[in-house]
Amino acid sequence: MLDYKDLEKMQKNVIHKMNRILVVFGLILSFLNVSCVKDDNYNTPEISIKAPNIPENNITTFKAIKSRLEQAQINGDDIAIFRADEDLYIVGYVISSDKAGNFFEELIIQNKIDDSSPDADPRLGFKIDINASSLSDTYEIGRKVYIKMNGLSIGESNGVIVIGKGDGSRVGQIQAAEYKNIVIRDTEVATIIPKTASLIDLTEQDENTLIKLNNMQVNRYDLALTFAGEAIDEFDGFRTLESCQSGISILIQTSTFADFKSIQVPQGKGSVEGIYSRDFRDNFNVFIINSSADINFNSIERCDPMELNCGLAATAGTTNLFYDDFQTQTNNRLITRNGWTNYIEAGTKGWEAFTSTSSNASLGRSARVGSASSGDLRNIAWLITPAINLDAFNGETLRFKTSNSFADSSYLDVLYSLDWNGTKSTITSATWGVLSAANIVKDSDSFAPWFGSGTVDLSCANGTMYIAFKYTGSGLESFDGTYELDEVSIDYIP
Amino acid sequence: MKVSLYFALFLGIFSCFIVSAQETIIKGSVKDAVTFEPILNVTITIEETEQNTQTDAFGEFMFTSNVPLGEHVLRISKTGYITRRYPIIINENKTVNIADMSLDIDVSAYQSLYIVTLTDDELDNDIDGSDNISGLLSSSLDVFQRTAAFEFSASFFRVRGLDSDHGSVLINGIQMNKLYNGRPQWSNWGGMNDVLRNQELTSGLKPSSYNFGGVLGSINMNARASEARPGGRVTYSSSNRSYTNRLMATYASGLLKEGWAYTVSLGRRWGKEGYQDATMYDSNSFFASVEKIINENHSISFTGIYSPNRRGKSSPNTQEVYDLKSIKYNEYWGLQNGEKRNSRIKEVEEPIFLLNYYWDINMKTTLNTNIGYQFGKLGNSRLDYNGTDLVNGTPEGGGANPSPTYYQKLPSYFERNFPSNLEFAYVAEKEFLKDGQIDWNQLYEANIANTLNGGNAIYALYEDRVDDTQLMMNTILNRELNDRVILNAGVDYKLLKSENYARVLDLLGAISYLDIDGFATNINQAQNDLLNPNRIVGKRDMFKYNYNIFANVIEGYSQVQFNYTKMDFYLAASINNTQYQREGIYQNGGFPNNSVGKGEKLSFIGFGAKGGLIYKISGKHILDINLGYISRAPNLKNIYSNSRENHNIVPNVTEEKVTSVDASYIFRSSIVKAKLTGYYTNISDASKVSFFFADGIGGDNTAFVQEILQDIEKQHIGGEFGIEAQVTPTIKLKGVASVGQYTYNNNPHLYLTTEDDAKSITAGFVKGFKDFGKSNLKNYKLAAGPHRAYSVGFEYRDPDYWWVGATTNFFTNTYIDVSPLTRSSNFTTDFDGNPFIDYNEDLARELLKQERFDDYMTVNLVGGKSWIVSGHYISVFASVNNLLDEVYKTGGFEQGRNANYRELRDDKALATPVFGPKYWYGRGVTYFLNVNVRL
Repeated sequence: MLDYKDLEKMQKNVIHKMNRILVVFGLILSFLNVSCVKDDNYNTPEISIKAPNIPENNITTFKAIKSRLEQAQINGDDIAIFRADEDLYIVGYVISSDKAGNFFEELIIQNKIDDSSPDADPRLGFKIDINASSLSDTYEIGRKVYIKMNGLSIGESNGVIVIGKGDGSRVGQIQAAEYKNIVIRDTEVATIIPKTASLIDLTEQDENTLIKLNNMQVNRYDLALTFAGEAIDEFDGFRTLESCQSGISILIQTSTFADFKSIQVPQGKGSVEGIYSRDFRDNFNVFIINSSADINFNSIERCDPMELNCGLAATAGTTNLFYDDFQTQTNNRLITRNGWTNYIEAGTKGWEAFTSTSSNASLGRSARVGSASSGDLRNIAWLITPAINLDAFNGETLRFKTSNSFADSSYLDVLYSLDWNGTKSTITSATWGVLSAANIVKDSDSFAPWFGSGTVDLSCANGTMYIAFKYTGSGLESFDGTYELDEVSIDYIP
Repeated sequence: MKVSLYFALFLGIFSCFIVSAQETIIKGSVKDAVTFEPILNVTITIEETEQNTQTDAFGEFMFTSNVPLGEHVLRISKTGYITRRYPIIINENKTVNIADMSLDIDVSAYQSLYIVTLTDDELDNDIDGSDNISGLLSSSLDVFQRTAAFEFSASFFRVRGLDSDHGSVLINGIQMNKLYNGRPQWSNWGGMNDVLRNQELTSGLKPSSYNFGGVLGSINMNARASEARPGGRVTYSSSNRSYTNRLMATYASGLLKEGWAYTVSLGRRWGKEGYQDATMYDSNSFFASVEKIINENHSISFTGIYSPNRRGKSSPNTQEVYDLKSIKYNEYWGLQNGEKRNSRIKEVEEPIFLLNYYWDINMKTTLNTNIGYQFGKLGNSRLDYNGTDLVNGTPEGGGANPSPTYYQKLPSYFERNFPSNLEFAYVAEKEFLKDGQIDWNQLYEANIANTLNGGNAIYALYEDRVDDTQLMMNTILNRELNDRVILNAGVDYKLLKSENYARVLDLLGAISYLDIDGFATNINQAQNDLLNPNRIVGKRDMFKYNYNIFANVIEGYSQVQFNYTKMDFYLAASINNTQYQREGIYQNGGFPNNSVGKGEKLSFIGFGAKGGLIYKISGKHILDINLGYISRAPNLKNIYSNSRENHNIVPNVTEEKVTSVDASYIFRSSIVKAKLTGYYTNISDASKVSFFFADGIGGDNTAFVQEILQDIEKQHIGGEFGIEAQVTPTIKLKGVASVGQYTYNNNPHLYLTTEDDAKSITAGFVKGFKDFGKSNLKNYKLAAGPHRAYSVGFEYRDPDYWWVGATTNFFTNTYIDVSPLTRSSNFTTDFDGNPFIDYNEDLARELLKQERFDDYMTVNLVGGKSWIVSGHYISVFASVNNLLDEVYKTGGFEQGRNANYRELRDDKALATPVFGPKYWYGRGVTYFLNVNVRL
């Protein structure tokens, strides 16, 4: 039998138990949500880049590094190798970014943050070849970096000076696992002021450096295109960028892996910043931008020449008004007589007659112009036909043939004027437009064949017209091509 | 049998001698129902008077004084045994002698010790792509199923090679399987082992009293407070498997006056890392259940379950990576401020509320009506590295793959690409060995630098979210038509709204992210949402994709069970209708006309029919045969081919058909229990949508692709054998064998879908879709864990309240998951659709041979002891798995990258393939320790 005491005991027991359970629950509750396990709410880590401690004595100039390559080349070597124990550094600033995908597995660095170029340490740039992507995550534009040259090599690749790991007679890539110990970051991120220059002034020394070109536009024939998103674009897209001032052009090179490859090229004119470089095959100079934002063509107004475009005529005029195949000229002498105006606007070279029977043959005797080894900073040469009175005839047409002997970025325009008065002194002040229907030999065409212009219709214009063959080039190797001209014929329908 | 007869006789005689004839006496003896050994310290209570006594060493007891007269009930109870009640009639001056009362061991108490190790651990380990069905079996009494649950689970063994979506998990009669993949989300009720221990299992096609079920059976967890074991208990566990610590406390009131009962439970599981590196674990559990028994016929129960759970995932890796690091290596983490930060966290927070009404209409009829409501979120985090800035209307930017095991960072890549410069491979190897983890600082630096330049995040941590809201209702009728016939019928309805989107978790030092797809060809196609083009998002914003899926399922079933002396049999039928509809919130730029608003409503009708027979040849020999046919709607996961971007569905998708038959012979004697089963299951018209970031689709870029395998037929055939022998009262021997063969039984159709962009057009896709024709998978083995598993072991249970057990398990015929793409026409054809000119059939056969993993053996130890200390029952349980630290692969898959003959040939020719398969390894030696105190 249970007595009262037992009951009391039981009650106490129950209360005691309940209390203990409450204590346990309390304990567990206090465990809950206590962040014993840290898995979120991470603070931004302390991101501080420490300035490397590199003895001033071990730092050398870009010029010194470059001359090591020049020495090696004199000795017949393709690359110069820096010994592993050499303990040599150069210091520069990052000017390229692979963020938009237009640069890939490379860093371009230059030694100046502006256009200064003292003789002791002239403004130069190098390409660092690294087998890693998203380098801009680590090396943003303007970042000051030290390149530890120990064990690296310097050479020329794709036309520019490149630093990397020696791989036989060429420069190979620095590997992903090691580049952070070679390209060492400083704390400084500088604002790089590009060198503002005209295309004509750029030299080899400007390669791998940041250049700003003012008063530029994309050539009118490329306006409908994207940067590199066309079917014809393999690896890179090339678009012609031309100076409104000089008319000189350069190709802007865009990777088909660039994020902005499918953007239409900007339509206006203005300034552009980019890296001056060479194309992959080292055939011509190119301009490479980091981002489509580097082009600032704010002005809607373009600087295109006036154009006459009556198109091509179905048939040529049947009666000849003017014809010259240069047979009456003298070889290696400037073209004269037969109504021609031969004018050298700049430099020492003009249109002259020549004959050749090689694979680069003339058509009997032909006319040509070229600036190779002219030593001139600039060559502009005009060859202008006699006046044509368009009001006096019907169905006027123009035909001619052109060929080249490596155009090398120099170029030939076929122009017309309706307001020139026929005197040499007013050539440059007259208004010259472009005969856009005429087919002219292109930079990329082979040197051997001659190309017909097509039957260019002139009949949609009125008044008195002059037609000019205008050559632009310079004594620089990159700009010193030769153009050839023959069988110029102007006809009409009586 | 003879022994026990003598024993009973002996007891009877013995008792005769000591009994005096002229007193009113109740006496008797208690023995173990299985071993027939007498049990000491059994409490015998006369319920009316609460008089009690205990048995002695012979299992005997006697009441001699103040014995009440008339009809009474004796309660016989002992911790660890199931309490029994015996009605007796006591006459004055007579002796009531009830010798040989038997007590059964309370298996649920005994097994709960095991269950804890499972439900917590392997079960919700769906993070590594495997699927574990152990939870379906852990409450089984059958030696085969128990072994499969406890010994084979670490190997991702699947009973009959079937996925867990063929089994149902119910809580209080409501099915908890997810409509998304048909699988139960175990972590929803993790850490509540004490309160969910009342489990009722029906295996295979056998009739369940709650639903029609699938071919793997169903398990119902009973959370009713009135049926919970009264009292409090506290459990602490320590382990090195998934969590490090677990603390749980439970109190169940038992039935209080006025018919109330309640149960509450709190739990916490936590750890910085489990067996794999940086697999953090953080989970709390809350459980409350209250029940009011209104009267004999009506009872209402309410239950709330809330178990928020966060876990760090671990990665599958190539053999190259395992060889360089270890089987604990995990690529998903990196150090941040000195802490291991895992980029892939799975977070589940889906509380469940259940309202149950139990109505006993009469003695023979019950009606059980249940309503369940579940809502919450499921998130899986990962790193995005494609953040861009909008420049002139075009995205510029994107980062590098931050994965430390990205193929271009591993030595094999350098060996392949720079064979003459092996120093590159050496440097890469040194670097990977030294670090080889995510560089969080680098991601922050890049983001901060870009932000300073006015840009957006390049790298971002985000989560793929599924926010399900589900309403479940059913009503289940149970009626005994007569002594031999039971009728069950039920109607079940489910309504689901599933919101799916991605959400920014952390911009890693940046403040904005441009929500577009940087890989698209043009800016319109790049829009993730044309309704909000070029949107800038911040932390916690939704982005990338956003859509809802609506589903509703209605099912009715009925079954009749007949029980006769020689034979039991049953017949059951079901019909169901499943409807799915997608609603796009974002208008995807790649699919502007096919992504926003509501898509087509899809409807599937499923039928089920099953029947079975148990024929009792004698008490010792039993035959059991079941067969069934089930057609069912495809799971949500396998309906939409690219649900993140458009309404498209899997071509020709239809109901999946399952045909299954099994036959068993059961032998039972007092010492030996054995069961031999043969089975055959065929699954046809199945479809499977898998999506992954694939490298090398249309060039060297990564693309998010969906691989659609349709019209799949699978065949599961095999046998099961289980035997246990109680060789002495304390020693039990066990042996189990499962020998199966699970294969593709046809050549299913393969399609891939991806973005509709220039890249995919180049690769031959039309509107982001490409038909690869048949994939020659017939007779390839299914990646369904080991097809063959064997176990032998023993248990020793000492009368002094301790026990130990050991098993040795053998696993063979485990296969890699083959890539369907490699087995399609894509493998043999060159870019122009013609075969490769250097195609060599013999070599191709060799290349496409399915990898079979090495056979392996594990040894597991378990043991436990219990005490009673000042009235409290304390038990300790410990287990050691894989004692010999065997290194073994549990699964793996071929990478989709080597999709054609030449690539695969060239890659496999290398000493270390660059795109070798990725594997999961089993854990080495691990322990689990559990201390349980009942207050």
